[in-house]
Amino acid sequence: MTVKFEYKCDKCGFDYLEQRGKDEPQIFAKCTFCKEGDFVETNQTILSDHIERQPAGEAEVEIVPVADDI
Amino acid sequence: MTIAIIPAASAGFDPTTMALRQTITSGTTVTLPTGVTQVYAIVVGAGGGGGGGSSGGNMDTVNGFAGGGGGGAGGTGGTIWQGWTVAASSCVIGSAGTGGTAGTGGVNAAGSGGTGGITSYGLLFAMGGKGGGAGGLAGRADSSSGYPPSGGSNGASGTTATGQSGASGGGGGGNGSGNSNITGTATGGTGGSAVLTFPFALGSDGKSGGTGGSTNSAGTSATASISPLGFAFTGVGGGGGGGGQSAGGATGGNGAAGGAGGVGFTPGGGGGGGGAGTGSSTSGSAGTGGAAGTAISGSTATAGAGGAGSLGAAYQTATSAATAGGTGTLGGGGGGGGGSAGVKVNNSATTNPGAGGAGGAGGSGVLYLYY
Repeated sequence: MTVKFEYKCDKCGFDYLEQRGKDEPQIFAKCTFCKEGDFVETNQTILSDHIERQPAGEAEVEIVPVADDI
Repeated sequence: MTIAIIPAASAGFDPTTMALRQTITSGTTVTLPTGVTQVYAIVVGAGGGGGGGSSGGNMDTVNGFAGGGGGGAGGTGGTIWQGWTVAASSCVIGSAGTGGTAGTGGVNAAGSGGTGGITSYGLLFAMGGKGGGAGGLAGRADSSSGYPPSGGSNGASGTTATGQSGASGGGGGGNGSGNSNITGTATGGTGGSAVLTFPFALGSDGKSGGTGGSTNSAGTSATASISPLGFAFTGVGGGGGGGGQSAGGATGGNGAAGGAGGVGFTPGGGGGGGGAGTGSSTSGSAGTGGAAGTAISGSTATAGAGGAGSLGAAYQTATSAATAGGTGTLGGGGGGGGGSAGVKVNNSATTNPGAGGAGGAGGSGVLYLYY
């Protein structure tokens, strides 16, 4: 079972995410941004293992064209 | 003409806030905040499994002594690729290489470790590490050679594997002997050859296993493996130790130590130690397992240590099972299993040795996302 663990640094407020097996240990306990604070878990979401394809228009990944002419 | 610049400022890239924001070791879905169109990713293939250790030799209806089994080689760490890529909503995380099966009963050869799976994301992918070779089968004396037995055969060489980052060969098994004290040796498997693969991930050659028998030797220790372009930093597994000889003397030969795993972002597993040879009064010492390779600064991956070989036992008594190799994490290689000691018999009873140690599984692939 795959679980998405969401964390927040208790010092700088940086948001961090680990997606791992339910019984696997946390990989990073210290903040990966400020290097000083500790990550505190804020949410857990159980994911299904198949590839999820979100409906058009609702995808969280929005590809924005880069159109700068050089 | 329109040229996309990566990273593109218009896509929201801010170098002052860039950091590791996601680490993924399971699943296929990647969720990114709206507006993130490119990410810097480090893609790590899964680690190879360690090879299984061979069991010591057995005896059927003859009197005599059997040699120790060879240790399995450590698995190689997964390769690494990194760079900017377009954002994607799915990924493939490489499955860990399975540990090789242990040899049992003195006649069944151990299995090699499995290759780690490929990890991919966006435009990037990284190959898995190769599994370690199995330990060589110990020599033994049996009734087929008549009585008194003329001596056991040499142990088989460890399995050789090839791969993009090199795989280690297993250790050679010790030679058994009958009452006539015939000796011999068995060579360890050779390391796999390194080959150049796209995209420029060049590993170093695998490490050879030690020789078993009368000239038994330690498995070869691995060193760090760095590609010419600096992109791959994969630890190679150590070679397995040779099994100890049993020549019918008072003291059996010693099992040889496994080689240490290589240093890397994904370190290599240690080789398993060889099993002890048996003597009429005293067992030889068991080979120690090779140390796991260590991770370089910035990596939290771990490799499995090699399992130790086992000691000989009293007449007509099954020897202990050898220790299994340790498990790798986050792309690290698994450790090779130890070889078990051979048995000794003086009343024509069938006696089997304990099993060799199973190889440890490698670590699964990893995807690190920076944005």
